Amino acid sequence: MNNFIYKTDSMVEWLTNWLQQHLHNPLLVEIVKMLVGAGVLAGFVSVLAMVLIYIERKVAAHMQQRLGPMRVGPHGIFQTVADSIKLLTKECITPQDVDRFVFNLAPLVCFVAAFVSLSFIPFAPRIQAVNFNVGILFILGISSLGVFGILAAGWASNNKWSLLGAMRAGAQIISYELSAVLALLAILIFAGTLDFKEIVESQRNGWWIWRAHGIGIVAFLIYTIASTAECNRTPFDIVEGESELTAGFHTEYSAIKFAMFFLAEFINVFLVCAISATVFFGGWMPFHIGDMTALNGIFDLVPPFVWFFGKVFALVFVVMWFRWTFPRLRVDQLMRFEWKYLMPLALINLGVGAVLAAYGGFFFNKF
Amino acid sequence: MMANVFFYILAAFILYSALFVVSAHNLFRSAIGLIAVLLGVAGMYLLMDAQFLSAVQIMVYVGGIVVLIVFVVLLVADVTEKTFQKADRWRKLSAGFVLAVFFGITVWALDSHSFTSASQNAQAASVKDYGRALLSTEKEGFILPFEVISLVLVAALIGAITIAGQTQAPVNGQKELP
Repeated sequence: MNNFIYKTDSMVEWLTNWLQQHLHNPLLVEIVKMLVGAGVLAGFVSVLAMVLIYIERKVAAHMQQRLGPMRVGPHGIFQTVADSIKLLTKECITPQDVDRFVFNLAPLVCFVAAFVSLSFIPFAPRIQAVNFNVGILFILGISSLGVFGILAAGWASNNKWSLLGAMRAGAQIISYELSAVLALLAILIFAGTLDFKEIVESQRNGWWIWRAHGIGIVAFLIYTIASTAECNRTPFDIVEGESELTAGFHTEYSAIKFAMFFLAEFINVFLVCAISATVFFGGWMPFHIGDMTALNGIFDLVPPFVWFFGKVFALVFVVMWFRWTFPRLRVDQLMRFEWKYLMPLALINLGVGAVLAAYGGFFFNKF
Repeated sequence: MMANVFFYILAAFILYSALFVVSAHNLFRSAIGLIAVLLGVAGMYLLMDAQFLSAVQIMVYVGGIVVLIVFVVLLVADVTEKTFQKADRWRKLSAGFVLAVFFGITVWALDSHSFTSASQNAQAASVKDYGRALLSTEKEGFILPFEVISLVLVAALIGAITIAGQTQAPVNGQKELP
């Protein structure tokens, strides 16, 4: 049993065998497995959002030499629980002249898009809700469904600020998606696969950020910038720039519908950091240096899921750090930055990466 | 068994959404219906083990084309406005007639063709296979269509840039638009 912390793949096998012994019917086993996967993921998402919001508030507070939430529970750890209960029990206000159907659908679309994307991420060996041979492509596709949710929210609210916020969000996300995808592509050429599981496997001898001769580092920087913009986070939060648009596309939303946008935003932050950790930092793979077996053995003692969450939360911290470091960009600066600097750079990076990969020019390829 | 259940659920979903696209009373709702239809079709591809096709369907159609359509709708339409007028009697009648004819032709076509069941299940092609097929110059390669399409896309891009990049005429109208 103790071994399951390291060998999560054998845990999954044990669970499958146990189910087969007790249910006999293969169809029933499949259905139970689906339900278990969906249930675990749903539980994970709700806890994750609360944890992330707590971390965000604490990071923000300490960056500004404040204490942040301190009243509810020790160091305020139950603050987000209390906030969630408040949001769920609040009255749901729907303004009079909105398009009700679209207005109610929009937060759901945003949330579902984020939730579905999360199911492709490998958290540890075989701890992956959906194993898919084009997983990363699918995530990139689904994430554009989130854009649609934002556009729908802005349009249905029948409010100038919301509509402007939604238009800005759409333009921004569509533009920055290009750089993010191009940056990921450069690494995917080296890895030679679109399957998350195989991308992680391909980094057994070293993470792509080091192995790919500088291409990895440039791609990582581009992806970090572009994905921050895709999540509409500061310094790219002109979408909901409070000083000009009140709250952008979710101005008219309250209570649980607002909570869904909020949840989706935080899941998206986790998601882009998880993709970054998986593609550039080896996912759940421990840190290995070449053939230094002694050192590698020490790193192997840390369980895979600790590696994964350690990497992801380190990246999440960086994204939160951005928020208190950079001022917000103007719309024209935002667009100029993407189309004139970031995307050409990503294209060049991709070209150089393709040439390098074709000649097998990356480190540690002998092992 | 499972696949059959999912097939019927998806089929019902697609049909319902398709109806929604043509019967919604404003453009934005139609766009939502269109997304639902395209997602349903992507689900169908998944049932057929064509995972790459399904991902591309979502990426290109849902993520690209429909979002662009929605963008245009945002620029032109208003929430409270009912974009579409109620059809008058003659339009309804002729639409019904066209539908009946189309239905008849479809039934006749399906009936007169004898389907043979496939000798073996279709294999899911990997991304590698797609890549090789797209760039191979051999008999079953797609290099020519691939290059022609890229040429068309480049032409479209240049056209778009030329149209968008035109310098605007001064407001007091000294110069005509080129």
